[in-house]
Amino acid sequence: MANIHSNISFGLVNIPVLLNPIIHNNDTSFNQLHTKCLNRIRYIKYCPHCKKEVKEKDIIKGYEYERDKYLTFAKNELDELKPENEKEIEIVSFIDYREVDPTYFEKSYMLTTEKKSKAYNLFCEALNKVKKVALAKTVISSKFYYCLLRFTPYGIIMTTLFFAEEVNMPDTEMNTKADAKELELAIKLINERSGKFEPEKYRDEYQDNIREAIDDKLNGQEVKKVKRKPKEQVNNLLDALEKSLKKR
Amino acid sequence: MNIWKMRDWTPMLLQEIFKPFDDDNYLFEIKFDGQRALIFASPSDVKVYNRHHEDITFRYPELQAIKEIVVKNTIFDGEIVAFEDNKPSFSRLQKRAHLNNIKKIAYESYENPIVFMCFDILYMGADLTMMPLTERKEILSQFLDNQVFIKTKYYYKEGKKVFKSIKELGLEGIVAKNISSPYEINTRSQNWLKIKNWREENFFIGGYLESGKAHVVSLFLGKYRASKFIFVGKVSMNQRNSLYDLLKREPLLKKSPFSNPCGECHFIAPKYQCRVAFMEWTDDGHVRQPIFKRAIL
Repeated sequence: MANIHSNISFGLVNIPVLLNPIIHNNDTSFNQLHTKCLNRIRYIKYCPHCKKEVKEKDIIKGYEYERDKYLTFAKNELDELKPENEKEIEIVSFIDYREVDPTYFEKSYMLTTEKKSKAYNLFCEALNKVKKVALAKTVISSKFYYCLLRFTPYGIIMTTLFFAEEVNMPDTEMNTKADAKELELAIKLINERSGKFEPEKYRDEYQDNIREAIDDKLNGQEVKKVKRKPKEQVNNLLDALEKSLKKR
Repeated sequence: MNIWKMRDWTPMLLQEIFKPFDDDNYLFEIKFDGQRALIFASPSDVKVYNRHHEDITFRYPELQAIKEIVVKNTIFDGEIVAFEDNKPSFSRLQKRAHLNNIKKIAYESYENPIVFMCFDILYMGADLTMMPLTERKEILSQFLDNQVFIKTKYYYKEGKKVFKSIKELGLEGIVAKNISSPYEINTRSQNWLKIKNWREENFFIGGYLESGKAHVVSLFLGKYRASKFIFVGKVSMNQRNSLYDLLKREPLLKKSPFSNPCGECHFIAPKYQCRVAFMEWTDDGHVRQPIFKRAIL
């Protein structure tokens, strides 16, 4: 999903930009195999009522409005409901970054321009000067988002936000009264351990172990015998050629 | 220039012509579909370079076996080839050509080994490039083949016959070489000619996209398979071709007519066809090296 074209729209100004996802998953991907034959397994969609496999064209979406009762939606019905401003990042207001709780941060994109853009540079510099972030609305692959546009030395980073209805916060705040002496001790302990955030130093220890195990397995296979002997294949080919040449 | 010491030169390259021919002054070889390589071998070391004089020795550890057949500093020219079903397989070679992880390379050199199809010798204690081709071939014939080093066969005079045979076998093409020519480094020479076995087929056009270059338009090609319209690749065409005017008159579709992904373009109903020459079908079902021939109207 690289390089989605979009536009920052801000009053009468329009700045064409590209959205580059900067977050990617570091999980090692595995395929699911059948233990017996080591072939890839496949999911089939099955209808237990009709007792048979169902093809993609015979599937529609159903919304369960009460138990076992469905409202059906064809694909084009849902398509018609899609928001229209797909190619636009519409700025709503400028806010203080610290107002936003990090719980709401979803995914980040680098906004770049195809060619050198005066408007983009100006927008960057202005954001940097006012020390504020832009709150905006946009649509990314048919999902509607509110998002933040923030100045960084690398360019503008856009971070999509969860909606309040997607974040489950408890209804009541908690009561945090503590004994003054104990509190003093706790603060002392915290101060002794204060440090810096250095993400480049943090390793995903589980993924490191998996990658190491894969390397070990690859190494173990070195002793395996050559499966296909190319020399024989060359000879077979040259024999076939000789035969073909002699025919005439 | 000492070609053993100075290694930043390019091997002799081929010019393409489109018809096989018979000629007493030429010999003919199979054109193996692989990666061109120069091998600098001595009894203690083997170095492998691609045609851009990059050292690719680490990618093909099995080629170290060439040490065993040389007695002096020797330079061989040839093609690194992977085989599948008794035929050179470019896609199988590609699995090797981009590996950087040493462990993966070691594993693949057992699982998916390659051979060096040698067709010339340029140095053996001394520079041989000024010798005529037939004499270099004579010297090369003294080297014994082993599991990774195989000398290509060649046939005198009868290019047409050789081309017919490789066509039957479905190979990439033939090479015609002037038997009295020296080895010309850094040169695309008339003395070495390639005649490729192009395949031609008709394709439906399901979309088009003007490219950044002036006057070029990419046609998105498809084939019907099992009643599905499958995207199989793109081919470039000049915008001055009248086919482009016809395509532009077609109403644009909102959705891709292809049943598999192909990227963004102006989608149109597959109505017009064009004829395209190409090298082969890739493993993932695309055309390799497609060239636009003409519109089918």
